[in-house]
Formats: sequence, C-alpha cells, structure tokens
Amino acid sequence: MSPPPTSRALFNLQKTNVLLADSDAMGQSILGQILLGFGARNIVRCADALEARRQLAAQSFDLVLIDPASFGSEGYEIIPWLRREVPPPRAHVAVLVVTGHTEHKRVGLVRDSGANFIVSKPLSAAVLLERLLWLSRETRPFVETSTYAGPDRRWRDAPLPAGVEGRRVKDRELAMRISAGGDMNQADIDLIMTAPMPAALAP
Amino acid sequence: MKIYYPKNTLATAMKAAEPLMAQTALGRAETGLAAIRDQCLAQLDEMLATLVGLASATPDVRERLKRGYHLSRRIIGLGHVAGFPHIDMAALSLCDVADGLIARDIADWAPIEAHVDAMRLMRNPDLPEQASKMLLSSLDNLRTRFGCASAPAKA
Repeated sequence: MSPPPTSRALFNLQKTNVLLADSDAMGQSILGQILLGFGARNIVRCADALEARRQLAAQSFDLVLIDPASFGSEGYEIIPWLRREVPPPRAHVAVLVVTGHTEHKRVGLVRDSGANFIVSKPLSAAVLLERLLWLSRETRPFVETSTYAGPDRRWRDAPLPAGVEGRRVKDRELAMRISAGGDMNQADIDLIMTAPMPAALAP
Repeated sequence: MKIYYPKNTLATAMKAAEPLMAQTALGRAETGLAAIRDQCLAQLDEMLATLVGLASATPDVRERLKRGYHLSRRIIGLGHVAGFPHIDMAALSLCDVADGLIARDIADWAPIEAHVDAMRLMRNPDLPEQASKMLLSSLDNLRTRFGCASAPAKA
C-alpha cells in the first residue's frame, strides 16, 4: 500500500497545548497514544464534562479533542459554551470532535455545536494526522449569530440557491461571476472580434 | 452577525518545535497503540461479556436497548487497536440499530442479539476474513431495516 499523501508533511505537537476530553478511559488512552506519537507533551486529560469546562476556562489550548457523546447530554453543551462564554482568543481554539456514534436526535446538535471538524471512530493515526494538518491550514472566519457561534459552516464559494439574496458583500460578488447562459468558446469570441461593425455604429 | 478572523494558534504551535516527519510520527503513534493492544483486548472482552449478559440482565427491552447502545458505543475504536477491526464495524451497526429502535419506540431485542452473536464470532482470531465480511453484510441488512436512516423523524 502506498503511504498516505500526508506522510511527507513536517510538523510537531511538542509545543502544542492539547485538551483531550473523553469520559471513556480507553478511548482517551487510544487518542493519547496517537498524540504522544505526534510529539505532544502538554496533554490535559478530562474524564468529566465539568472538569473539561474548568480547564477550558482556566488556560489556553491550541487544540481540543472531544467526544461530546461520551459525557451524555451535558457533553453537547461544552463546545457552544466555549464559543460563547469563554473570552477570545481562548474561545477560538481549534476543536475536533471525535465520536463513535451520534444518536440520530443529536446529529444536529453536533453539527451546529461550533466544532471545526468532526471525525468518526474507529480513528487511525493517519486519519487524525490528516485532520490535524487540515486544521492547521484552517482559514475560515468565525461567525457569531444568535443561533450559532463557531467557524463559518460554508466551505465553498458556491452560488446561493435561486431567489435567495446573500447577506454578505462576497455573496453579491459571486452572483456577478455566474454566467447566465453557457460560456462562449474561442471561435464565438473570434467571430465577434473580427465581424464588421454595423454601419449604424461605424464612426 | 459578527465575523472574526482569529489567529490559528494550532498552526503556530505545530511549527514552533523541531519538525517531525509525518511518516516518523505515524510510526511512533502505531508503536504507542501496539503498547496498549492487550489492554484494549481485555476491555473489548469485558464489554462483549457485558453485552452478552444484557439479554438476561433485565426484562425491560427498552432499558436493554439503551444500555446496549452505550456499551456498543464504547466498543467502537477498541477493535481497531486490538486487531479485530470488523468488531468496530459491527458495534457501529449495533448502535445504529439500537438508536433506530429507540427512536421508533420498538422493543425488539432480536436484531441486537444477532449483532452480539456476530461480534462474538468475529472475536475468534481464526475466523477467516471472508467470514467476517459475510457477517458484516448480514448485519448491514438489519441496519437497513432497523437503523436510524430508516427511522422517521420524531414529532
């Protein structure tokens, strides 16, 4: 099998402050071993939701790995609380949700929690590395509205659905870039450039 | 609506230490995981035993479904490290089925029992890979029938 595309990347988590929040000791241990392999030395481990909040309020982290479902219903409140209640820049820490299975009724909660990324267990070291490298290249702005606080959930500069008016300047720029019909080919363009000018327009 | 452009401190921190080749880091991570393989296997066996015991633990099937869901959720990831990755897939399927049954308020333990039996079979190190795949394929049918993807949205 060929090595993953990330295998030549250079990085080190030695100076990275990591919060690892998972109520399951073995789940915590598995993620901990991977992080240690990646060079991490400053790992704060939390086995309960209250302790995770306490740590997030007390110190700055560069990366948070959390399995909200492992803490039951209160686990799902940690990330929204972090994004809204903890003062910046701590509130803007990169958050990776690592979860085995999310109950159907809570999928929306996780999606809208404000995490940067969600990955599923079972998690291989290669997948975690890929996600960390992705997080380190993260450039999405943070958005705060009455219903959501976290990284912008829009990943691509895709046009808005027909009839929907965008709220941002960028949306209007995008709308102007979308051609109404099909693009012209070079032959069509050449024809316009070489065609004789109508007499009415001639100087 | 407020928009911020925060500094990516993870990027800064990852570049602050002497660079490590990803391939080296992955090798170290795998070595670390191999060191806890036996612990994972022990926990996997313990949880499988608890799952098996659930059938007689309480007559309340709805309660069993909840407990089975949470136990199975904790199994996901252990199989991968312990050398039984198919068990993780079966545990994930069990969670989906249990979640679907709970969402629709169906007190049926049979599909869960089928999962538990399959997981016990997959725990046999001599079981051929092909057999594990066939078991997973059978569980997929149960997942399609009872899993959450087929569950109607709750009112």
